[in-house]
Amino acid sequence: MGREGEVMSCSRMENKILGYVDGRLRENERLEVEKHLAGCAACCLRVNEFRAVSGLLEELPMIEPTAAFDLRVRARVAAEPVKQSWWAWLIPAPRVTIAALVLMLATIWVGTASKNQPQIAQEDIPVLENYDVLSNFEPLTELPQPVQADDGGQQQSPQMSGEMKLRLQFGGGLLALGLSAAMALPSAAQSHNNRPPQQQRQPHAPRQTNRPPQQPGGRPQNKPPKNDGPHHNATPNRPSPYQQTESMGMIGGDRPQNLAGESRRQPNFNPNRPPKADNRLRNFSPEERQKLQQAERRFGQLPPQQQQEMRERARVWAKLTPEQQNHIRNDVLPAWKQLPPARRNAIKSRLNVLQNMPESARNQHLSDANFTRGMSEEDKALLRDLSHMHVGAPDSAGE
Amino acid sequence: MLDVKAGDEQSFTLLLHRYRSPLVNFLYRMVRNREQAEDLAQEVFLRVYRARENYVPSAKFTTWLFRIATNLALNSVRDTRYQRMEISLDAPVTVDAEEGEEKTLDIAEKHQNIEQHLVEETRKKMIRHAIEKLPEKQRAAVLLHKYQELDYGEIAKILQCSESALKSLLFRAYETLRVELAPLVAQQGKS
Repeated sequence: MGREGEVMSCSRMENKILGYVDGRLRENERLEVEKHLAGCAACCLRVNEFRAVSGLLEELPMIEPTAAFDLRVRARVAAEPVKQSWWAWLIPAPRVTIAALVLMLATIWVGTASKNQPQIAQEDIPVLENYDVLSNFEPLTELPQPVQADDGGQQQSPQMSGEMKLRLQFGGGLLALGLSAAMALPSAAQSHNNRPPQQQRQPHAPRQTNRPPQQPGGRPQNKPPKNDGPHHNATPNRPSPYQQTESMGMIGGDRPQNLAGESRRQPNFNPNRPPKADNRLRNFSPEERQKLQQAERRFGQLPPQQQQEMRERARVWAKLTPEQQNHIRNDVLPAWKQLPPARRNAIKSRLNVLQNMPESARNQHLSDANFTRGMSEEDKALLRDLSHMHVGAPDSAGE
Repeated sequence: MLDVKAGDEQSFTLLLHRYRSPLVNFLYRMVRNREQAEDLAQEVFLRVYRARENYVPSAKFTTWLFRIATNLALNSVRDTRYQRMEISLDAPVTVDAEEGEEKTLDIAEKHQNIEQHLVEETRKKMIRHAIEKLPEKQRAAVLLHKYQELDYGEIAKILQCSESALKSLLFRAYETLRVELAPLVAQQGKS
């Protein structure tokens, strides 16, 4: 096709021919092409054919966008967010958002339950709350245990820590709310309401003198989390306002073993607490918190063995009736503090002997001059008083 | 486009009116489906709108616009290649695809007999098929060159190649078209 000696070769024409057909070449290029075309019939033919192709392409008609085109573009543009923010992902899924917020609130609530408090170990709060009594009144663990009564179990409903229960109720409610919001399933909320109401609000019968050591039938229904041990936090006749919601007090009432581990799950030791026991730490006044922190410092300085003893005392303390607690706090403890160690030990050792005796044997011992030999009348009276103070039982007047 | 960047919604409307038809035609020639072409054209305008704040007038607006359109079209063609293979290239042209042409033919029919109409229809079908058979990049080059009348430099930027490569690309495309349309080219030459 191409010819040697031409100003422009046919191969070079390939890059120029279309521009020449379209008239887009510069003047000098156009002249160069025309010079080549004048001597190259093949390229001349190609130019003509390209012109024909170009003409054919022009035959295809143009189409017009549909009438809805503009509207669609405007709609898509209008749907564009003005400024995408990082939380824009919340908008498309409000239900999920609500569920996430509810769960987040629950998490915050659980977190703040401990964060809002002074840095005090939860399990030691019962010890710290009554630190003055517990640290000074050693014979608490020598007090007689309650005598078991046959009808004790009938009067006692399954109990659980009021604080634990309230926490479970609230946490369960939040969880159910979150689930129901997420899944829109009414049954999710129902599951929360399916808690046995009689266990939550069952009024207590008048207190029983004696209790069985354990209520195995009551625990499975209201087993609190992390709780695999007995509870001693409430006595059945405790007149505190939250008593009606606490129902585990009798469980393990006479099981002094494993006390250390159990006390950590017994935040409900103070009988004068308000009903919302789970909030008590948050509701502490600054002075009370300061007091707790001071007690904690002192408690922390004790050797582990003494700490353990304090916890055991706290456990016994929690089982005392409010009357017994007041009696000890107001009457016994001031006198106890005045006693020299030798006299305290004398009383303690005798209390220890009397602790597990039947009532008749105990009275017999107390009347025995040999048993109380060397004791002053004041000490004997104190011994008699304490030896009749059954833990968690009515005051000793009846005995 | 600078006005659009400044937040002038009216300017965007002007851009839309000015470029919607060229864009839809270009995309229609590329993807051979009117609905898909319009969807792609909408996407082009949407991308222009989204990118308005970062727009830098380093090149002509049309270059940028058709570069977006070409990329979208090439991606679409590649994505639907296997789907399109199932549709015979010789299948009758749908009414939807040739809506504009039908209107033209309706007017023409008043002056032409049915035989002339069929001849015209056959010619157009051949031309469409010839364009359709071009490789995507050659097809884009021909469409931008012939119908959008962009200069070589712009087309080269759109297709992201050198001007020399573009001229070679166009030459090969026209050579293919010349062969494919040889009967029509011969007629064209005689007339």
